[in-house]
Amino acid sequence: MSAYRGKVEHRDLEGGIWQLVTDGGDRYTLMGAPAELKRPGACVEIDGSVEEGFGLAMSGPMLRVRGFKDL
Amino acid sequence: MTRVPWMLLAALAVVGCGRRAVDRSIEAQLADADVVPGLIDVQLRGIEAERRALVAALGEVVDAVELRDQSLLGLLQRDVAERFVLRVPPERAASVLAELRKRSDLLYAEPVVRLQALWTPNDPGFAKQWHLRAAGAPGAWEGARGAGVVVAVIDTGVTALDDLDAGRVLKGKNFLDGSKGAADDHGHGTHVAGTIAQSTGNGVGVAGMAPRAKILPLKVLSADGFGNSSAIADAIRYAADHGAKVLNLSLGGGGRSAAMADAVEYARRRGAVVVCAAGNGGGRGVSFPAAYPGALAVSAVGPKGALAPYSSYGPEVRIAAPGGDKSLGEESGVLQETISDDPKKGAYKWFQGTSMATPHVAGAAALVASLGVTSPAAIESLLARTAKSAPEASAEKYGAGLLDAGAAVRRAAIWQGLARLALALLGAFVAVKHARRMQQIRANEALPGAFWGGLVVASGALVLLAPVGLARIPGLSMLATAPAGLGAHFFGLPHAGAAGTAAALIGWSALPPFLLAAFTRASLFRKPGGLGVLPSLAAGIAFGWAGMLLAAAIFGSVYLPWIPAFFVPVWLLIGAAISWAAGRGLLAREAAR
Repeated sequence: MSAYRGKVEHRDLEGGIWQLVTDGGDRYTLMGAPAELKRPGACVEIDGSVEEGFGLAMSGPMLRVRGFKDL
Repeated sequence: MTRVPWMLLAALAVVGCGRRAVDRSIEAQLADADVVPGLIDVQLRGIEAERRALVAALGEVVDAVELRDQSLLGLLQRDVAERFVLRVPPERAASVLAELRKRSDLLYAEPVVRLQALWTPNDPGFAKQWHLRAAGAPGAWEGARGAGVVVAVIDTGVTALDDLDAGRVLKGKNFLDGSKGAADDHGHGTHVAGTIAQSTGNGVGVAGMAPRAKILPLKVLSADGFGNSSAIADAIRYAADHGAKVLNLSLGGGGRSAAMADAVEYARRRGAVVVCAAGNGGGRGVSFPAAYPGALAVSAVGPKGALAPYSSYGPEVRIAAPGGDKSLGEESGVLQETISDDPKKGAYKWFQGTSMATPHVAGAAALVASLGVTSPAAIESLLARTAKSAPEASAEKYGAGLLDAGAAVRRAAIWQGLARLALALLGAFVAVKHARRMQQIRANEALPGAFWGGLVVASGALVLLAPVGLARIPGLSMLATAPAGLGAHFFGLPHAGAAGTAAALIGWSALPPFLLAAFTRASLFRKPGGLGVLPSLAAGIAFGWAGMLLAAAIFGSVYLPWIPAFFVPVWLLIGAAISWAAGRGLLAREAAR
């Protein structure tokens, strides 16, 4: 489990996907994101793990969310 | 929809006559209700650059893409490269026409007439579906609507709402929990299924690429759009084992999975085309399963035909199709029906993504398959060969080019039809000549119409009517795509269950004409001297059947269940030889008269 800091982004792809853009510019598609995390532009730190999963987003690695806090 | 091809032909003939009617006054021509104001179709003799300069001096030359978007390209399908369409202020049209017609190098100059030749569905939202027109659907619908083909949608599930005929959605399976049924709890799968097979011409909502195809919904993605490789691999195998001719995988990931790669290979071996989204990474690097050998990877373009900014690309991309580009506006997305917040209620939404491009290709594959081209390699090659050129030369971004379903259907129909007819006639010619030499038919004895009728129908040469409205009459298209069409109509798909397998194996063998010939001969013994229509018809059918089997062997266009791929041409050749011999045998019986 690691911490990922960045900004939450809603992208108009495939009907809408949620991603975290880290301070370093990496992009992760959020898996299992709670509704409270789905705020475009929110700066957060997410506890989670990166997975090589499959899905409809097809836009970078996936980050399974365990928990998060606002920054 | 119920208009018949002969009316269409008559309409085309009228238009054609109008073009040559030089004595008809320009004013009367321009007053025609179907004239598109301010557009003139011109063809001049001479060098292209000179002609273009000459025409451009009179008005603005309209490019083919714009005509296509306005559904006017049907008029120009044949020799678009030789012609110009000129836009002038409508009030100047008469004087420009008069000026052009004075030229000695003019072949013709006519107002552009909005032909009703192409079937325009009455779905109110169809006008906004630029993506179906860009994919060539209207031209394709003349010849094929995907009847009898099952397309598996391996996605978030599919829910049949107002604009997706529930009768064409098969009972699916949920691979996440193993349960039966595959209702959509996300919306993605229903949107994708809509692009493939939305109810079309029903006066409701929007249209889809292959409106008579059936959907096999297999749920592998959860309500938030994620899944795992083992569920996806299982679904791919399940689809191939349950009669799906085309698999649509609008999903992907970065991880390799041997199980999924094997499943893709397996499905293709079982005769399915596996169409996959290239991915939405926006850079070089195609996601899996699209990147596996055996998959048909699809990149996405926007309304102008350029690669969409989000689309992944790479050497695995085989073809590009409209996936939308909403950076150009909301209505530059792909419009289909999907579920709304209330999953029982439909909503029409604009989506974008390589997931949206993929079902355009899957739908086109279904259209081609419904014309009897059932080998995955033949379907893929047809789509690639008929793709339109992309705005830039980049095989990594566009593969073979931009999908053109209309061109694919026309090519499938024309090549198959001509080959079947030519080979059937050749076989008949050789047999008749031999029979005459053997004095089994008298030298001056003409073969009755039943012989020729049987030959043409049994060969499936009626598929040649595809470009002029074959699909408007389901019964006719069934005959034209026989035996694949007959099998599909009565038994389902070539490898869907025992009945489908039997139908395909019997249909693509000499058994039907052989039995018919045997029956005819037996009946002749009962009625000596009763020759005429029946044996001639049976002989014609046998030669037609032989031509059809031989054409399929030469083109490698047919997938047969249970038969190893390398043996399929041998099977077809043996069938052709027996069919021919059956026909020849009947000609011999004529001598017994």
